[in-house]
Amino acid sequence: VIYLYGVCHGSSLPAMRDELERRGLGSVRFGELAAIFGDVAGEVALVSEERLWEHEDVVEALMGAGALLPARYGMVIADEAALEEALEARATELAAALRAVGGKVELAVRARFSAGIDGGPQRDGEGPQEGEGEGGGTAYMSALMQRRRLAEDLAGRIDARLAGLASASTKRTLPSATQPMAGAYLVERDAVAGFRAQVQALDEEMAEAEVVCTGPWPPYSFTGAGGGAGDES
Amino acid sequence: VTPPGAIGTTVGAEARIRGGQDVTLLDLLDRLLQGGIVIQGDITLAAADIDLVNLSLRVAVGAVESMRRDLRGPISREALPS
Repeated sequence: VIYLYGVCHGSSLPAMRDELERRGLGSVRFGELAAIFGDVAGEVALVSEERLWEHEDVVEALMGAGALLPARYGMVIADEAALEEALEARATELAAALRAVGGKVELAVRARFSAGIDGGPQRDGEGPQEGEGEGGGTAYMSALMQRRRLAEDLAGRIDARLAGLASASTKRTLPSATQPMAGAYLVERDAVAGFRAQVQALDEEMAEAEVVCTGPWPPYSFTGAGGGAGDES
Repeated sequence: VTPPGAIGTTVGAEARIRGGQDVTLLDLLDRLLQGGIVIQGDITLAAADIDLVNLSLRVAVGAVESMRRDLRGPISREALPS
């Protein structure tokens, strides 16, 4: 049983050699593609912050050698033959995705409603519930709709400013009650500073929400064909 | 991205960007458990770190459901707190 870390161009393997040896990792090739794997050590099934960071550390180190499609945490495959079969089955799609992420990194953008401006059901009778009396159910639904409208407006304004700085993007509107938007943007490495500055400008301009950015991350959100762009609510 | 409070590798030489420890961990969860390549495999995931789960149980559970859909196969959820 082996553990998948990612898929890269076979031509990147020479530059990865030292890193692979140092970490005890192996590779499987199919055509122009290569998959990087490691041993399944201990309880790989256990999701903990430490293990997630360990996975992330390996992926980031491998990315130093070239474009890489990171694997989702926990991808365990029977053996090298099964991994080669998986590469063969999706070779065209993986090659296209690799081309799309070359030279780029992922930046995460998340917005949080400012205190008292979440537009949703309020505590202590303030906000949308005020004056509703026994119509609490109606007020609650109305507040939910108000929250969604505000979230859609904020998400649209944020995305309008950032999407043009990225080659691909994906966003979720209202991923939780306190967050109007969470997005991922695929950005050229040398454009990271400009993207970050734009996020900071948005954060300063928007009274309704705090806008924060983390990264650069490996392109986890863009491993599908065509860069994996898309929106969902 | 470097784990909060630690020194590690980064993607390239860009300045590290943080959104605070909670946001960074939430973004890590989103990416590693809901993004990335998914291929046919046998996966069993369990959430063990109570702090991690407290921070984002929604993300962890959503990720397991997402993986179940992607793999179209059985998945066990041992030790997930109720």
